[in-house]
Amino acid sequence: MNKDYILEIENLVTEFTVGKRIVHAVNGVNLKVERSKTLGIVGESGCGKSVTAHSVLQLLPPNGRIVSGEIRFTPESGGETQVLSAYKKTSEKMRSIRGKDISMIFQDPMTSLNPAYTIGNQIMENLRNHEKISRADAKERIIKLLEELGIPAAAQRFNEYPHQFSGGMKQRVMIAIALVCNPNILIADEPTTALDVTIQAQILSLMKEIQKKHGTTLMLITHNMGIVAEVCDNVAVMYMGRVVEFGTVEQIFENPQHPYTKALMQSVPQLDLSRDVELASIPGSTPDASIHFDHCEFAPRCARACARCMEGFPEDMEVEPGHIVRCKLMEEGNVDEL
Amino acid sequence: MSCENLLEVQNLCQYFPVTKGTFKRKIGDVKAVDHVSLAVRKGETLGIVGESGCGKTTMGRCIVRLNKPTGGHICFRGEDGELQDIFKLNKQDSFRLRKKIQIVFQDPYASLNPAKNIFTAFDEPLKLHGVSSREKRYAIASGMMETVNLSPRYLERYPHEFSGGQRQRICIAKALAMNPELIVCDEPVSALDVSIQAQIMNLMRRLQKEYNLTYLFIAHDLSVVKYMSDRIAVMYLGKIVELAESTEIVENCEHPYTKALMSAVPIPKLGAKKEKILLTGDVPSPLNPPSGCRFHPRCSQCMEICREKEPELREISGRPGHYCACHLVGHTE
Amino acid sequence: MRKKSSIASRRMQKLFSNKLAAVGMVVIVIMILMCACAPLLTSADPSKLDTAQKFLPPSAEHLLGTDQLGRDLFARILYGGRVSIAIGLVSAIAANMLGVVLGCIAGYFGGKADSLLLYLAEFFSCFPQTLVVMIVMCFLGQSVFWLITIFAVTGWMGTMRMVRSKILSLKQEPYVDSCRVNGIGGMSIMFRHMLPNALGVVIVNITLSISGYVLSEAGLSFLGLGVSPSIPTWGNMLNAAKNLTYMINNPLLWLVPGVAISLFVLGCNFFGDGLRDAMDVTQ
Repeated sequence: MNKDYILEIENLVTEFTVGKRIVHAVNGVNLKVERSKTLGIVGESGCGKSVTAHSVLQLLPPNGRIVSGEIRFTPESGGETQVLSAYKKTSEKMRSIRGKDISMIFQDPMTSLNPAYTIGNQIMENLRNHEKISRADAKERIIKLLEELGIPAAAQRFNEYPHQFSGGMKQRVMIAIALVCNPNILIADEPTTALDVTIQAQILSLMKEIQKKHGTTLMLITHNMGIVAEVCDNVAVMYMGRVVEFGTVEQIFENPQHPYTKALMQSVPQLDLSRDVELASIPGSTPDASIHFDHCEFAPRCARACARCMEGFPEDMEVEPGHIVRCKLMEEGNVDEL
Repeated sequence: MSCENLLEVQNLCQYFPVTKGTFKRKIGDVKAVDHVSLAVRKGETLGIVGESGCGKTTMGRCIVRLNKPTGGHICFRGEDGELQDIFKLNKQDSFRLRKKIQIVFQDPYASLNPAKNIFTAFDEPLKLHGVSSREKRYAIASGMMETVNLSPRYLERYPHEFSGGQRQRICIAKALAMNPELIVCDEPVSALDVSIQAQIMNLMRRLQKEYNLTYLFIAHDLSVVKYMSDRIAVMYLGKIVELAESTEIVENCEHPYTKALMSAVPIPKLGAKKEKILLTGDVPSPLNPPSGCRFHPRCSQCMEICREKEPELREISGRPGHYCACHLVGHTE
Repeated sequence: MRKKSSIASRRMQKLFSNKLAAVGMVVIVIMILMCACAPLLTSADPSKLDTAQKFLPPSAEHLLGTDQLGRDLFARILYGGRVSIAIGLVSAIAANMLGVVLGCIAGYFGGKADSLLLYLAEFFSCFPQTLVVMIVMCFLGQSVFWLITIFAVTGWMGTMRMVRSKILSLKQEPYVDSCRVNGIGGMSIMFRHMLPNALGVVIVNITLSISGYVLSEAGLSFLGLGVSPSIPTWGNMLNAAKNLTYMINNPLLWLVPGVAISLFVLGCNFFGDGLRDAMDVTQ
């Protein structure tokens, strides 16, 4: 079956120069994002999930650069494909894509808005950057969008400043800025981590609603397995700059194959977990990203590591259709029982 | 387990005055903690859960005496077995009590002084509290480091050389070195990665058994609190709205806020997608809390009485040990 | 102590990878060493008058020639440097010490003490330094001691504000709270736990203010308000050269002290800037 991919990332390598060291934040990532679906990227801090997303929009700091790999973007189904990685960071082309075709919302809504401008102004700026539209028309459209995003008294709040908004409301404004140009892809980088659980539930259900209505493709970056299970269609688990397991949410949660995915899943306490059970934990901590491995990065912490794991990198293996695992154990056909 | 109360908090209030203008005119109080009463039993873990701004951290800070409460009492069972108000002790007793109640903070990156090596962090409080020989202090510190699975060699190192999980272990070891009875854990795992979270939680539970510790475990993550605690108190806007055994809270919670909180927790399991109770709006400002029940503007089952009368935290009839502050719930008279 | 040196050595590395800072430091060190070792470098007496030998051009005996009173210029620049640099160094340290102590008190205790010290700082900031110097010199006569005292008393405000704001932010740190939980006293927390973390900015400030005080001394002495003219300082040498004929016919008289001052000040500023970058832990 040929699936309709809106974004394909192939062998992406992004590195940062820190002092004299070179840190490979993203080290050969392959990802395929299905149109109008939600892809979750999970992993612990420093695994490269944010950098992958920033690479798509080339929103990298001056010391970061895409070394190799290809990012292909197909805005229309069956339409023309653009190679984003070929554009320059500051090129006109890249800027016209950012905020219009692909937009992004960030973790901290408190600092992502400029306190000196009204929120109406900030949303309008993005809209008028990308579209020729009169101020009055723009205002009308923005107020409609704000209402749709559950901001009460939108016409009045249009003229208010960020400090007059609560955390949850600010995140809605951020979503409004991202959505105002009807983007094809919305990248959400830990959109609810800074929010309280009840507000998180509101924002997540809002994002789902938007997706249903506009057919927006969502790329959700998070460290919370619970959010992934509730919101995502496909999941990529990342560790040390690589995707270690990729599959549909059912495949990942019901039949996880990579030892890291399994351990990650078992180390999260759940409401129905008995207190007598000890949590599974992964020994040690994530190694420094500037260390270069010549074998599987997870092997030193892996409970199932054997001598073969220390010899060379594992290959991506498709253990069942659409379910890709990057582990030496899989190469032997050692797939766990379904 | 003995049911003796180690700590009793009675009617605790902590108000922060809000001032305006050049002349510091007082325009009101932020009621961070407003008439909260609870008891912590010896050897148990009492979890405090709530959203940001609900006053859980402020309460923890009052208990370790970082804040002086505006009103109410905090009583701790001393060596003589008597409950004593910790703010009314004489200077000497007050100082002696400091080592009995320790705290572990949320941010392991900021909890250790970057200019001092790890040993200094252990050394100074020990010296102050009467361990006069340096060898002895070093021995205690090394022992504690081993207890939390870190090499005693690390004592000579500086905080920036450790990862977040290691630092949190050091902070726990440091608190433990004082031989405390109660440790206030203020979001000890929320700044850590999930796999490290599990390590720290397992460690804390092991230490609790070994040293017969009592924890006051403050966190915003309900599943973490549930896993760690014997009993859970749910806070909303400076008030405790529900308090019960942890399984009771998870399975049979009564307060509409607890129910909403519970349903909002994302569950890392497929098919667990139950009907969510989505709360509307945001937490109101503690400067101007709503009249009556503080939850009423967001409550779907709000009645007339909820707007006018503030419900009291009382035991639910037929459920010993389950307290709830809601007009909807039948209480034991 | 192995690891302590590791932070320090990383900062050192960063400092010396900055070329300008390294050059600045070399310049300062050479100048200070030369001044300190003045008797070894020249046998001439900087104050010895010999009208028979005035306006001599540079020679083996007088490396930079002599001035209008026949004093050896090279000796005067070295001995003068001793006084000028000492004034700069001592004033900078004294002013900053005062600023640190008051800043700690203001930041840590807050409330009334804080507002009082802030008002005091404003009060001191509104006196022109020159005016104070003139008044004091009138009543007490010219002396190095009083000059340093005035510099210190009128120069602590910047440091105080800086340390105060640093302490205010450090006060929020959990490690400070954890000291308080264990009952460690206020003074100990302030000076032993918080100050080491604020010291970086103070050291940078000292370096940068040395150059400022050297300049102030030169300026005041040039106006005849600084150190008594009988003591050689770089400023007094400039003062002695302020005469149109000397300026045209004997450029060495003003060029030599002028270049010395500029070099030293420039060295201090380069070094201070490098130090600031190296101390910045956020990078």
